[in-house]
Amino acid sequence: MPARELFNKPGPSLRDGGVGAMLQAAGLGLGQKPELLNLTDPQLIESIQARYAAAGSRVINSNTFGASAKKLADTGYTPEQIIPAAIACAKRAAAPYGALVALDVGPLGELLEPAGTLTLEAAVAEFARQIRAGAAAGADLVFLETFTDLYELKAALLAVKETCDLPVLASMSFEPSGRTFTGCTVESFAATARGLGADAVGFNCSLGPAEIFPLARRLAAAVPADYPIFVKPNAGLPRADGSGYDIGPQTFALQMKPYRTLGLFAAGGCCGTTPEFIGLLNKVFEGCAPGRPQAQQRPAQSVLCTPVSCVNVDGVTIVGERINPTGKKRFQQAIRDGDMDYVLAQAVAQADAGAAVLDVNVGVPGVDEPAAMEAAVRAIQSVCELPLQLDSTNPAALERGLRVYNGKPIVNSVNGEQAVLDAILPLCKKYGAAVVGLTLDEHGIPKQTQQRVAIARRIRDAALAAGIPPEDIYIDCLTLTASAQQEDVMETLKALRECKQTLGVRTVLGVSNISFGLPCRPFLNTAFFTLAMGAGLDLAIINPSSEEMMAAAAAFDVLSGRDRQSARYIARYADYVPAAAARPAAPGPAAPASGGAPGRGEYAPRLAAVQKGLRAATAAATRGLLQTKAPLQVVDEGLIPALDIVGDQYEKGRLFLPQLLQAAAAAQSAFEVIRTAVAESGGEQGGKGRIVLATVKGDVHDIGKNIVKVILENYGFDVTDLGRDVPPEQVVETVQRTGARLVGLSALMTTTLKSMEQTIALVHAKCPGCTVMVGGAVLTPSYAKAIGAEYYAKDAKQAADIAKAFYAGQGE
Amino acid sequence: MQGLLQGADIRRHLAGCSHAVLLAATLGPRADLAIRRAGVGDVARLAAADAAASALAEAAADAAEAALRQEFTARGLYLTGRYSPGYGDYPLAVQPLLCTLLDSARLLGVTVGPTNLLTPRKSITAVLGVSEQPVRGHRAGCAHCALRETCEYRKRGQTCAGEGIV
Repeated sequence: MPARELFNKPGPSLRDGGVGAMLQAAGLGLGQKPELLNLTDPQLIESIQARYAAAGSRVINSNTFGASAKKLADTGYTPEQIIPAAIACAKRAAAPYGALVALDVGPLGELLEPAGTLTLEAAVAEFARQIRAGAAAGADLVFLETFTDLYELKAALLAVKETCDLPVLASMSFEPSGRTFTGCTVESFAATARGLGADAVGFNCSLGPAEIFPLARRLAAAVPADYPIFVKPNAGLPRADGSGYDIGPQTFALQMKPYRTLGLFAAGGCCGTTPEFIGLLNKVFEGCAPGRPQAQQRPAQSVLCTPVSCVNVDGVTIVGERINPTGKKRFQQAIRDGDMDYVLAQAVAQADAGAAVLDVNVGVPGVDEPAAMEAAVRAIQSVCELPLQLDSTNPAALERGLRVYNGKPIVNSVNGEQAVLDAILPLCKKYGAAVVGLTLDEHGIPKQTQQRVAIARRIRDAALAAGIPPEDIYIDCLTLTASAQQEDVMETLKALRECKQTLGVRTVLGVSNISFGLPCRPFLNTAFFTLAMGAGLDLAIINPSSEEMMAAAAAFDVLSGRDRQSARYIARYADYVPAAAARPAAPGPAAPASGGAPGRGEYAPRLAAVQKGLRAATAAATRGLLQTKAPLQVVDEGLIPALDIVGDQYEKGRLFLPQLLQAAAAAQSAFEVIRTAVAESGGEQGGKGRIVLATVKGDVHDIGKNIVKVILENYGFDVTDLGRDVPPEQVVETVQRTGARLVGLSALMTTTLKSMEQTIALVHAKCPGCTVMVGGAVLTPSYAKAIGAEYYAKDAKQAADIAKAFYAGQGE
Repeated sequence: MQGLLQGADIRRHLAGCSHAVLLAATLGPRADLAIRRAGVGDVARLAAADAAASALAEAAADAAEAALRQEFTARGLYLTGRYSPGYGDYPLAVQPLLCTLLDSARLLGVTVGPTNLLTPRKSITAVLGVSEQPVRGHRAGCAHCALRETCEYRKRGQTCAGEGIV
């Protein structure tokens, strides 16, 4: 039977059950690798698999759950040795019964970035080795199972799609909370795996049939009626005394009965189940057909997600517009400098303001946009759980962003131009993204509603032809500015209404453009936004920090009945005090920190604010000083003396780390004001010297390094921060590229001191004249010297002192 | 299980014990994200969030240890305090074996990286000795400790286990 027929044939196909316990019963020791048995005792493996085939399993898994190069590393075997042997065992067992053989692939046992250090591409490469070996050995399909990290599942699915044409089943393990260990929801799993081309999704392991059932019901509701789903539960829950699982074959069969209503295409067992369990399932599913009645299914939902946050675009959904450098010099400078902290601050502020999705645009002339897009997506996803809208017209930039994105994003945008559709729609299909189509083409934006709708239809049809589901197609009828094209405003709204009603698509608008060139923009924005919502707007790209706009959306939800009993509106506004009525924030007290030398004259408020760690007051004082003084003067005469006082008191034991850090954070806010001023004036910020910082290869403890970075920046140094787990070669490459003459390295563990030593040696060999300072808990001055470092800094204060003395000595 | 008993300090800690209990606890990867998020543009919040999360992870391990102690006390047995890789000379190199024996990846989502660090970051593994006689264990192992020369506790004449210097 060809494997794809599995998905259509009447009655669920039975899958096999647990193998681990049967192997242990046959003498496999704790901690021994079952995959080796494919070579050392193939008869044992084959006999277990044959029992499952005899019990009615139509699919037999190969004994390859942990057959990755990583997990086999200490066995002396490779995937290329183990996997063909394993497939051969399963084929021999399956052949007499006409069963299919699935290449079984489990997680790599290591967390991906940002939680761990494994990169997505390294994971894809690992999985690809296994899948190539399995496909070459004649596996009929691929079974990805027991995944708990959606990002790792994405890596595995990409590897399958890029390596072979076999059908692939994707299975994750959930906790009773309805999430995996990494926080992934059932709906995020369904949307992401389906988008990435899984032929079926399901659950295995961790729970018994009774516990998985409510999750399976959610899964069935999250996919189309004809999309295949399956389950392979454990034999109940583990017994507390460690003696196995708590239900037998009869109870298992009984607990599987409710699944008859879910239209499973396959069912089986996982840990603790045996051929006896599988045999009884035959009866349970007698007369059942896969698939769910179309009539019972809710209309397809338009979903955007990250693992932990699944946004159902049903009514007005707020997309934060602020990660966009257009017309913002400070933002453009940040992108040119690779300053992700600036981008992250925008992301966090918009998330806090209530955005549901964030638009990400990093297009700046002269910048490597594909690299910037990848960096931005990775950085934002490391601090923020909202889905992203990747905003670019550059297919290479979109692909880099789509590849590293964790979840199901939306691409903004394509338009009616055939070349654009041809370049971008296949990317959306491959990476499972929703897509925005702009109603313009090579001839520009049509004035008339009907012409815009015609382009929208063309885009919709092209997207459907590319395999993108209808619920993932969004149309942007384009907001034109009221000041320049007043007569077109209503055409946009007419076109929006028409697209929504006649094409069955979702709609998008960048709302704020309406008011460009007119005063009091929020008034116009709010009015237009309200009209657009009335016309059927789904995704509203706005500034979520504008309370007027957020209030308009909240009010619309009440008036349209979406916010039942006004619950959300009440929660948001019950205690609301309008801004005009609110008291102005109290200015920071000007009194000096206890024991500190008071600043004098015009710098006094600023000094006091830094010393006290008052972020808002420091920023305000800085803005005031910049009215009359040059940025560098403010740094030299205001900021640095204040930090010196704090540092001095810290050294004397009068202030402690929290105060030092708060002062540093206040100085950070001052620097942000200064950077903005410099960028707006188009000038270059005159730095005090370039320093490259890194936490060495193998070490991920970077909090100390991060503190050093902030303090060095506060003192006006240009810091290139390479992050953690940085290979020596990357440090050298960065030193050569930036021309830095001072490198700071950190390591927290004794085990990574060797890595620090290697990094120092390589820097000295490849970058003559470059000086290295080191720090970290286990280092001592003498050890630092022994491994070749020129300087040892016991804390961030000392690192700044060293840097100051170093660059002063260099004549800077 | 010889592989578990690396170094002098764990042997000293488990002296007089016939059995051992292994323990793992984690705050999960979303705690790591919360720490990173707290640190955006504010290094003070970063340090505070990181320290608070460490304290919370320790508290989770404390709770697990307390539950174990109650269970073993009820059976008339004694437990030492918990001992983790990285204490004294007990090397991080035992993490892969500890995690394999605990099946921590499957049961808890805790995995070991290439340099034997646990991920998610705020995770703890530990060994507790079991004995029929009252035992306390010896947590501090200053003699072999990597932080011996820079330790803030030692400068004050204390140890991280609340004992006098040994």
